[in-house]
Amino acid sequence: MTVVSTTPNSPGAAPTSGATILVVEDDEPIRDAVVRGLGLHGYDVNGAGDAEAALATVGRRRPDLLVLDIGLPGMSGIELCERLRSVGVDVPILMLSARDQVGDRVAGLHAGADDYLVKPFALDELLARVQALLRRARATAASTEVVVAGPLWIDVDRRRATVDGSHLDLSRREFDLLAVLAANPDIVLGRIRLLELVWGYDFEVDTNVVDVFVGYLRRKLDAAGAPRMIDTVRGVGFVLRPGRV
Amino acid sequence: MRLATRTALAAFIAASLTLLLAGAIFQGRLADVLQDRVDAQLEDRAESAPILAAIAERLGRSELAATVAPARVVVGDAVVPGGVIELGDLPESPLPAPDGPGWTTFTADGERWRLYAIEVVDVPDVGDRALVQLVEPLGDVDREAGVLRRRFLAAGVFVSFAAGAAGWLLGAIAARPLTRLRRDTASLREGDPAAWQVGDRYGTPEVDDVAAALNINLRRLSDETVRRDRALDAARAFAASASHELRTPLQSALTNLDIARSERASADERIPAIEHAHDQVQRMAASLTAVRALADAEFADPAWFEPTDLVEVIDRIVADERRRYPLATIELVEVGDGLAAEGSVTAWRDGVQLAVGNVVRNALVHGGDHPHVIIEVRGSDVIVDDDGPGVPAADRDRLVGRFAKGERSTGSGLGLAIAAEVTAGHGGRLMLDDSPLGGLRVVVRLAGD
Repeated sequence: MTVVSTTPNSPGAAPTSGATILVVEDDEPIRDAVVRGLGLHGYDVNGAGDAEAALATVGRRRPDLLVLDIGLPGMSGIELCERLRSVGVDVPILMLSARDQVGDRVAGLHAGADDYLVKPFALDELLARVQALLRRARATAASTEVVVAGPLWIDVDRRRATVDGSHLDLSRREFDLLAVLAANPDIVLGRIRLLELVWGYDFEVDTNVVDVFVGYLRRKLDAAGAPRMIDTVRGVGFVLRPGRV
Repeated sequence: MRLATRTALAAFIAASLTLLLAGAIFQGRLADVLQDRVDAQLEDRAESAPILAAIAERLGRSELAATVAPARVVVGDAVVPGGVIELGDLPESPLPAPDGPGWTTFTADGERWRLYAIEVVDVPDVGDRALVQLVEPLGDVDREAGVLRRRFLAAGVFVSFAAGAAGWLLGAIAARPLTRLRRDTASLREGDPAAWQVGDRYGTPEVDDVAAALNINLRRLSDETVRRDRALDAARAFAASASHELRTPLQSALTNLDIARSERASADERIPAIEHAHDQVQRMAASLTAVRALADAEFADPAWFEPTDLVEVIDRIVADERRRYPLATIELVEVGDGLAAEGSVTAWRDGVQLAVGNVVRNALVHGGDHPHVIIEVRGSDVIVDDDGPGVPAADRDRLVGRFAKGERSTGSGLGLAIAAEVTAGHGGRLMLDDSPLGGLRVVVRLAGD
């Protein structure tokens, strides 16, 4: 394994207020309250009641972050997320879901969302995630490095990852996770540390996004013909072992 | 115990008992028959006894021995010393003492003997009287009887076991329809409850009757299972909808309260936030009430039904709604023979009030700017017309569903679903149609068609 260059992987402290956020939620009282709540903290917030309105808004002016309800009437939040990702909208997307929509939540992450929040949630929880995701988005945009680990070649600057020369099609968050794991070879990274490094969550958070995304990464690496590199260390976290080829 | 084992055991016991009884009777008779033979010989010999006795003294004993023996002639001391003439092979043990004529059986030399004593009177030269004791060993007879007994016993054991085996075989054959029925029943465990049936012909009327009774119960069970599965699905869907219906206002109230307590919020922002939160909590309360009403409607108790004056019930609704919607025109019309007013409709009064109330409020919410609503009572039908935009035919079924809301709806989305459940509880139904007023017509039918 060769590290061509490294930069410290700590969340940047870039200010996030003033960022534009689009809240897509069909229930007007919720949408209205979330728009006002985020607005109170200095964000420039717009609301959309359905997927079509959201697409129209994104088309006019791309927001810095989307808060997206999974249960939209007509085109669902998952479909909207997929559509946005497929047209190259790579801003952070935070899904809102109900507790009984576990399957939908995972589908949302699979469709390219960065994280989800279970209703009912406190405004503080939403704010913390919004801030972290915005900071991370800016921080990763600024980093430049190339990491090589076994058959893996990760060009952080161009956001390109290859296995033995063949391209890996990764979502933004999958790419960041893989880059962090590859930059710390043979070092076990706990879930909290990964949430901090990849999602920018420097606060207590109740989520299983790390496990879900590690699962996606394993599947994609396996499909690309890479050996199994990401191990689970029970009770601790995950580790990438490049040398085991 | 298996059926075949039972029949085998029964056949074995029956055969054994029969043979034992036959054996008991036969054995007694056998001994009699065999002994009769000996007795006849003794009687034959007895015929010549007097002559024998008379010539006993004159003839040589050896000659007598050949015809009479074995026998003992008791003649008295005067004739011969000791008074006894012994002829032939008598047992070594002494014979029973001479105590008059008749039959006796005695044991001597390890076997049984038969003795026939006859008295001979006026015997010349011998004296007045003599007693002739003719004897015959019963050893051969007893041996013969023993052989026969052993043969009979062996034959009896064989016959009993053969009967048992035949019983097992017949039992197995007789149980075959039952075995088939059992196999058919066992295979029911898997598969679609709707297909839970066994055959109807098993070859014997008794088993066919059991199968028919079983099929009736299976049909009942499968109907019940299908109904239960459907109810469970409906309950799950309902729980999901209800939880969504409650979570949504809860989320909104929570966020508004978070805004209200935020240090960043100004008084101008706080007060509307608290008002929003209050509205949402009320929305939750209304949803809870509606969910409760729906459950009541769904499981209406027959005891709640009583003769009800529909017009009176609806008149109260009209009075309430006129107060709530002062700009609306609400008319109540009674059509027909006035039976409804006389209370000839058996109905669940609170349910009817809930159902018609929901339909009327629905009409008022979706009616024109100054809504015009006509309520017509026709027998056990309550027909509600409004002058709103109406509902496209394709959308009507959905609107009767749970948590379905129209464009202008502010309620729980359960109003028409509750009305539909109430009508179903009366054996009737809820029908949506075009209204002559231009809007929607809802027929609340409180009786079967």
